[in-house]
Amino acid sequence: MEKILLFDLDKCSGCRTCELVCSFSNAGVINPCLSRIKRITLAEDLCFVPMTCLQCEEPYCLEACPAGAISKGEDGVVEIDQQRCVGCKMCLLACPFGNIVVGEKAFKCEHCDGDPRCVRSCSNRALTYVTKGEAGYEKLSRTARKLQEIGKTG
Amino acid sequence: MAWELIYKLLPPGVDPFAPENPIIISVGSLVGTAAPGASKIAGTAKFPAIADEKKHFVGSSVSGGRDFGLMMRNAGCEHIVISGKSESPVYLVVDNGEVEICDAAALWGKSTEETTGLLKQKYGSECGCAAIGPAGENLVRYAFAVVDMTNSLGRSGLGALFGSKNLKAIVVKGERGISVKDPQRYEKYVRLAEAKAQGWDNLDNWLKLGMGAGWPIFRYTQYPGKWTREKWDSLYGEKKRLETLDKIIGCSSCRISCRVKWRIGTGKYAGEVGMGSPYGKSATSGQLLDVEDHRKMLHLVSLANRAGIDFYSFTRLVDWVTASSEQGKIADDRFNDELQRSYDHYLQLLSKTVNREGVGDILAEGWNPIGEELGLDPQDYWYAGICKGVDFIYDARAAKLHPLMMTFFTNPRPHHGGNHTITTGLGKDVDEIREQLDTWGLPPEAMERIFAPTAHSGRLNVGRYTKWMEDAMAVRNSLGVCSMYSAFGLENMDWVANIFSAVTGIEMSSGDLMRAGERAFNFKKLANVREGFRRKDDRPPRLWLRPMHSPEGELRTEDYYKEKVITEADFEKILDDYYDERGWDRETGVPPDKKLEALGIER
Repeated sequence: MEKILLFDLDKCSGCRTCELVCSFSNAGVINPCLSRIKRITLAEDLCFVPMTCLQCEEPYCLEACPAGAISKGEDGVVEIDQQRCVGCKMCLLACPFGNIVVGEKAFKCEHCDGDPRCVRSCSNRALTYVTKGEAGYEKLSRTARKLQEIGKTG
Repeated sequence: MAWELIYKLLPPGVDPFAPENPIIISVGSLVGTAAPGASKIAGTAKFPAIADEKKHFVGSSVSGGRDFGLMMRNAGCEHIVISGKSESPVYLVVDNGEVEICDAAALWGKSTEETTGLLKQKYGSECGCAAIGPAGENLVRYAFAVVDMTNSLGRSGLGALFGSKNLKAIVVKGERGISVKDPQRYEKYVRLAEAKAQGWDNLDNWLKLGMGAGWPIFRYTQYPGKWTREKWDSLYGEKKRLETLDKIIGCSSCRISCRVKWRIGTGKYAGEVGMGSPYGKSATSGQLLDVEDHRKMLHLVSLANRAGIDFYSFTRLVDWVTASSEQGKIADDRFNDELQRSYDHYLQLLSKTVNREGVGDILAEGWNPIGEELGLDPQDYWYAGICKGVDFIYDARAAKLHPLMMTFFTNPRPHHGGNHTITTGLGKDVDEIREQLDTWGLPPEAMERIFAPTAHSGRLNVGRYTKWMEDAMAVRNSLGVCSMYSAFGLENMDWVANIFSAVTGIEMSSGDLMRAGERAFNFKKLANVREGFRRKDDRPPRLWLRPMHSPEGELRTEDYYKEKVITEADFEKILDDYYDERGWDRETGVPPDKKLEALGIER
């Protein structure tokens, strides 16, 4: 079943644990720069936004890759074949969101083989890993609760 | 390590504001990893707070943060030593090991919030930043630095030390990363603590309220005894907190989160946003200053944070001088005219103190200098114990003499110098305490001494326990691991030892770590002995020997299990036990040569 990694901005505490566990799991070294997920801070309002690859249905990065290193699997995950990647950074230029990380080669979130380490470490459940059908339900329930309150007070 | 450094770098007897007094910013060796709660930095120096006989203590204050510690590690630094003095305002940038001193003329006078915002804009929102506000610039002796907008470093005046060097802020950033020596063992222990934190039955409450979830403990440890607890709950309890809570904020790698962003929704200050950990402070000082509107106190916390001044010390000083004025104890009419028990007066006094205008210039000096100027004795203050010129956050009469309480006066820097353990909660079972302590690698004889009942300390020997909890705190601060996890029994010293060994490849048991902690603590003690501190300075506040007359009845300092009242003579015996457990001289409180030799310390 195709799953997506969802962010909930209201819940992100800004703790950067996702960056620390991601870089360790995927790069073998703990370094926020090498993390496939980034916590961005909007300092003026102290708002935290976790950002990572959204696994586009029509990935611009895939189109742009001259080495044919990028593919989209049946599980929906867009992957970069490290053997084929030539490190040209075209994918970074093509991605509209900035979700490609570049070291010697390019890399990005590939959902940790279906068990994203960041999701597991996120205590406040700002990151969740859900099927497309489940996506949005939590927000919908929260909204429903608000509507219920409004209904009560008239 | 920082205490060894300061012992070696600090010329004895210099004024804290002298260029020769170094500020050492250190980051724990587990910070930057995903070990839960590993985010702490420490600021070590000789502090500007004025203790008895005009002495100044040497110590460290500790702060978490989302970015500072993490980025300091990634910048490749373990300690930043700042000595000398700049002729004009500057800020420091440490970027991947390169140090740059930059002109801060445009930042001088700006709030901590604005300064941090501007620097994060310039150096990237993910950099770490510690900044002072106008209070630090104006050398207010209880000014602090604000770390990453939400955490504070140095409530006994570290901010004023920044100011004395014309240092407005420190920015750290880097891309160096941290390698782990034993990845499998590291991952195993990270997951172990992570699973324990995530399975904790109180987690949802913390994720909902931040530090505000600690209210059931605060309402004992910080109870001023002016209102009933029922009234306090209704004005400052959970319901009121949720009215203003915008979201919770965590330090780097924290799985619990204790900071918050708040937003005042209604009233005069509607729309105001603040960040930090405001609820304990606003509740305690709200009761102290008789301000029933929690939104007003949140506004005051915001103003104090932006100015970079310690809210606890400020509000208590105001309460003290105002009460003294009401009682006709102040002859100086400049003060009597300005000290009124009203919120508007508090706002004015805050601004005057931060800017050192009029009476504020004296208020900015802290307890002992104010006492001298106005002919008052800080030990007569009715709330907040005072030791070595600094006010404590907890009150042993309301909370009983739990071990952390004792560290407020045995710690050379009078702040809690002990590791939070489950004993921070009330009346924990002896077996439960013993079980947690079992992971610390203590010699069996020490365990027996701690749990042997005595006439002066009851069923838990607080004096002896305190020694070990201070050593444990030294370990945690050196490694940068927050002690909140220990307070809730979510990890223990065995876990700390395993994760330290896995990350560094230096195999150490919990007992090895505790011995290293003891060695570090002795360096801190020696630095203070050299400044003239002796046993007489480690005395419990006189306040704790007087009863608290609260609307709920008379509260006295009792032993941990509330089975007996602790008298002055008991305190002396408890201190005897503490020095004895430390292997220090009972009469003077000085570590003898024999002890230092055993620890491998050269005087």
